[in-house]
Amino acid sequence: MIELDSVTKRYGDKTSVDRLSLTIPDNAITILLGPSGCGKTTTLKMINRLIEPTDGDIRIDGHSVYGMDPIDLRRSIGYVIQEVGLFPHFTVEGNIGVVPSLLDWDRGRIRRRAGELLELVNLDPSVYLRRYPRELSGGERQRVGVARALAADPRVLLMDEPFGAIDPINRRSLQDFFLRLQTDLKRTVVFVTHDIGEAVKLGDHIAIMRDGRLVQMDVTRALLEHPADAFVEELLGATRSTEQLLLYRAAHYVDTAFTVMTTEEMHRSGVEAEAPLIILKDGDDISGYVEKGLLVTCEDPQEAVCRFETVSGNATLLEAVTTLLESGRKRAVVQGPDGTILGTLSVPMVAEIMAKVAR
Amino acid sequence: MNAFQYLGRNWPGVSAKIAQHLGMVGVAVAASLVVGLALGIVVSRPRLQKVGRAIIGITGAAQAVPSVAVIALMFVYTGIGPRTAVIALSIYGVVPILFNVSSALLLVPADIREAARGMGMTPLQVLVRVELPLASQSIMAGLRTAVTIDVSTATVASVVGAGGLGDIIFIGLSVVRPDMIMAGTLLVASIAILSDVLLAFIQRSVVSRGLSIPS
Amino acid sequence: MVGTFIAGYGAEMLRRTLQHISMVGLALVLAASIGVSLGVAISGHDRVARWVVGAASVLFTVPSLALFALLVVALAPIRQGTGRVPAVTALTLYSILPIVRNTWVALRQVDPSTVQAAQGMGMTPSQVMLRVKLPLALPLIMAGVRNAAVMGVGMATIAALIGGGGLGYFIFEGIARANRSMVIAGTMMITLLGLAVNGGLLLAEEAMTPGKRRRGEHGG
Ligand SMILES: Nc1ncnc2c1ncn2[C@@H]1O[C@H](COP(=O)(O)OP(=O)(O)OP(=O)(O)O)[C@@H](O)[C@H]1O
Ligand SMILES: [Mg+2]
Repeated sequence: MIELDSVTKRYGDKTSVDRLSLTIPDNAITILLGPSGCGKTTTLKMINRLIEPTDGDIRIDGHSVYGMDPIDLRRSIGYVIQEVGLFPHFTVEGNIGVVPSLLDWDRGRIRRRAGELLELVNLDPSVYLRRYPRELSGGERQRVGVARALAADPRVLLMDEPFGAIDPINRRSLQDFFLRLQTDLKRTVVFVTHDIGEAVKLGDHIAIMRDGRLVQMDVTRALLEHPADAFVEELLGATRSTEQLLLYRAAHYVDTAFTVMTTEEMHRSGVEAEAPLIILKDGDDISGYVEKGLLVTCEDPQEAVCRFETVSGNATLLEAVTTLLESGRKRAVVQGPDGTILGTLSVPMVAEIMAKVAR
Repeated sequence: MNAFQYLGRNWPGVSAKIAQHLGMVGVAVAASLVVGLALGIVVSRPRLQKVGRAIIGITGAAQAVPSVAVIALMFVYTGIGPRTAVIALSIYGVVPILFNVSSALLLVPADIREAARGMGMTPLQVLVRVELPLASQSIMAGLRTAVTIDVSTATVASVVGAGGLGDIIFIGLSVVRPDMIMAGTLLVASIAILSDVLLAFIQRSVVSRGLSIPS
Repeated sequence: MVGTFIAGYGAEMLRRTLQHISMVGLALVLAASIGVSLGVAISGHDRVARWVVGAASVLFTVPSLALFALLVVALAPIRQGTGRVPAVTALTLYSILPIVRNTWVALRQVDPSTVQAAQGMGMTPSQVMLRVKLPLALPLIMAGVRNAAVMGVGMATIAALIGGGGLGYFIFEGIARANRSMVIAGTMMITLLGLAVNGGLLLAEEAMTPGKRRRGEHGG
């Protein structure tokens, strides 16, 4: 646990961080979010003492960082910064080995550790260990940057817009990758960004700052649903409802009014107009569905059978909507991991859900 | 008689001149390197950056001062002898080295230094492991310039009685002995070229491959 | 003391200063014509270019006194062994390197899309060179010319030793006669000349760089 206790940083008569008190929980990602110049970087750098505060205290697990040697403190904390970070004159191995070598590990151990970490970040050690940063793509550099921060197995990671300089597609895949990594590693991460999408996607908790002060800190979903004031609401802004689509799992919002029958049963039974949506399932094979009320208007029942998309129950609402919009189909059938039919989703239904949470 | 015959017959004397020449250049370059490097490091510290920029301006302009002028000026103070030459060469050699060291160190991006600090390097470790390696290309280039200039200027320093290979050329010129002129010329030219090739080789091995610009 | 020297030798100083400047200037004009033409000729032929620039760099490391002396010997058969001919020849040879190297580098740095645009407008290769590439390369070429000029001022001093005249006379003659004022006066002049040439050409270079800041010199 990292506690910031009424921390203040002043430059001359400009107050960059103003009596900031914040508790950063263990083993989770806490996002510092806010407009440019609100003091996010300053706050982060005070945690590893690259900047000394004017006032206040910072404690890690109850011990004040001001009681520690700053050099030792920094070696025990992983630090990832935007873009540069990597030392151009070191190979990938040299870069990952910086902190271990400062801690006097022997060469064999450093090499093994570098190989291990490269595998962890999905880069083949036999290819990448001997490369120099200029021989890497932007995304590969960021992965190496993350690997380097993890080198000495720090419990705390400080990340200052680590994916900021990357194109949107690569940023997305780095975020996914980092999330998977964190699921295994469970580090205490303080992550600075001013990209709201990134914050919502990665953050277990989000702390919103403005003019050096804390405006609101909460669990991500709670913060989205209950913005503390107009500023937060505006900051979350138009992206808010779309971002929520990212958070909500399809399984929880499906339309459960449906019946399942085989094609043969349908032909035989002659369905009534009032019957709910019918999903046609022959064995394991779902062949289509019939909208409520459609059948009565059809001469040949088979013509009323609509094709559809399938979506996993673990998918987010955003993925479900995207799938539907891209395919042009009206409905998606949502299935559980074992293939059971959980229900269906349509674009108008999602719009309704969004309208509800936006209230 | 040709240059090679001259060299063959006068080898003991010639080799003494070579030794003098190399000695003069060696001592001067070593002194310039120590002073230039130390001063360059000091003036590139963040707190002294104003001084650093002033130094870059001064040394940049000072490179336009001809080396002979420094020898001549030194002669006025210390008279005839190798000492004059060594002091003059040392002073003159500081200029390109100091210029290159301080400009390269000041060019090290602030965020790279901060990344190094953020990972727990002491100030000395930041200097030795990050700043100097990043500046190594430029430092070596400054050193090469200083060596080339010193080998050349040491030849002229013969006129202030410094000895060295200039003696052979000057005597050759004054008594009109083409073989001596050629012999002296050949030797200094070889020293100049070989030392530069050697330094180019060292430069290659010292400078990280990660820094070289692919051409 | 130095003052009395200058008072007494004022006319002589002026004469030798002019001599010095004309020697450097002549070599510079020659080197610029040769260097820029050579740079243009080798641009686009990378391997040849590397050889030419490499050879010029090797020549550049040869100590100036050695090159002067070499030319004295080489030019003796045509009775030009001393005086201005070997001096100007040596200065020209030295000055070619910075100019040819900078010309070549500058031409290489011209944005290919700019060149394509020019070609697309129907310019012939020589028009592209004269109207587009060379103007864009000019600032860097000027930096090479400045390097050459500054270096020439220093090397021309040494020409006095082979009868080439110039300001070196005061320095070497002063040393030979142990005449301090003469040495100091010569040193002052040569230093001022070096600084003035550098400063003057620096201004010219900045004036020729439209809108931009000066690019780095490509020194070795
Ligand atoms: N060394 C300094 N001297 C004076 N003011 C500073 C200094 N460092 C930061 N500031 C100011 O403190 C404020 C907070 O800066 P900080 O870098 O923490 O912002 P940030 O939230 O990280 O912004 P961004 O999103 O743009 O990175 C800014 O107004 C900045 O101008
Ligand atoms: Mg910031």
